[in-house]
Amino acid sequence: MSGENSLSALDVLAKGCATPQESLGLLKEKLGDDPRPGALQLIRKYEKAVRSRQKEADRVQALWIHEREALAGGAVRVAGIDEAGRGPLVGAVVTAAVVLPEGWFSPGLNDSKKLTPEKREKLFAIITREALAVGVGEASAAEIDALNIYKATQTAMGRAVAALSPPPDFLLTDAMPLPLVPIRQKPMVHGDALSASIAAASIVAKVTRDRQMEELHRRHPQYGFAAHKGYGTEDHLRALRERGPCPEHRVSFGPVVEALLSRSSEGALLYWKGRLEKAGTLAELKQVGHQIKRLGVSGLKASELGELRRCYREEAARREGRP
Amino acid sequence: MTSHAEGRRAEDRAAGYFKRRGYRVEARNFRAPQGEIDLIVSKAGWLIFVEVKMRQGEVTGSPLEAVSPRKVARVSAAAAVFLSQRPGPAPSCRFDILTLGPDKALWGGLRIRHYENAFEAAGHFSV
Repeated sequence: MSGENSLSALDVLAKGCATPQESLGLLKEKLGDDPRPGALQLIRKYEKAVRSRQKEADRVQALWIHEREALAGGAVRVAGIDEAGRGPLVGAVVTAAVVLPEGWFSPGLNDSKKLTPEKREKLFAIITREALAVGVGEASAAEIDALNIYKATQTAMGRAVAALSPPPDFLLTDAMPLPLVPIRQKPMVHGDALSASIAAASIVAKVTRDRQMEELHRRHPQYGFAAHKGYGTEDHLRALRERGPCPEHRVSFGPVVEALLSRSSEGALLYWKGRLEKAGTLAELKQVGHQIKRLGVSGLKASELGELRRCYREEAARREGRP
Repeated sequence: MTSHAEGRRAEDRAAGYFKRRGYRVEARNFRAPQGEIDLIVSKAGWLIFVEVKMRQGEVTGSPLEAVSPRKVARVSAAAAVFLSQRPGPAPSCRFDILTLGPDKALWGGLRIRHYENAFEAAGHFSV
């Protein structure tokens, strides 16, 4: 070696630096205007690393624009809110509200839709550990049937916000205004791609709901909930037609109604009777009664309706403690 | 897994192997907070960081299979520390692997394989 620094050693040294910026500084200092072609190549390589690191940093910072705007406007705790499970035919709609430390980021957060279930689980663990507050809220299938999915989602989001401790003073939502929550808010379209907090909330909601579906799969293994998570896949629709809905199915959703009606009216009768008997409280019983009125009538014969009415009165009497 | 004493003996054998071939042993068991290097030797302007591997059975497959990406990162980081502590211009350097395994042909003997330039340095960040 002719007193010059060797490029392979400089590469090792540069890689030992904490950031690409530092590596580049080191290389420029050692190499200066070294005429060797490899020297230029080495510098180019680290310049590229600096650029891609910068790009990633910019993307992360862009995810904090809306939160920072709210913070600049006087807010202290900004919560991102998102839901999972508006589309599926079964189970609750699950929502999450997350308050992150300012500037927080974890790789993969910016493309939550493209994450594998394993990656989501990992991020879920990181978010619940490092967030300042995490709240989860849900609205059951019965509530979805009674209210409609839009209002039920709003209800669930209100619950997620109420579960936050300490409470937030600004809400970022994914295109969903919450008129009943008296906190300043900003709904935005594609929120989970624009805001770190909403992206984190979407991961928490999705993982929580997926876990619920796995639990539901253990109770009703014949529908394949663990695989399709309750969405209306071919397999799910076939199981619905063959076996009829389970108590967790959303009977206000088209395919579930069709499955219910395509079966004999005795099947529908048995289903509704089961729902009446399993209703826990009087309020829940009334909810089921309401559903029968809205959804069940067209598929049932007059005599079967009479039987359901009788069943409803008996169940109501039992819950009110009357003989 | 090899015990500490066995590892130590393997490193002795490895150092002997390089000395017999005219290399200078610069450091053994170099430790830095970020990692460690079994053996550092030099020859003809080259500085060589050596990972010594004891193998139990017949050696098959690439030596790289015996060195995890995590290990590569730790060795690279330690190499960077070693280089930065060294005065004067930086020499050319490379990473070698030396494997020691039982020799079937020679009872009680060792079969040594030397893989030059076996892996490249890896950094904390991906380039």
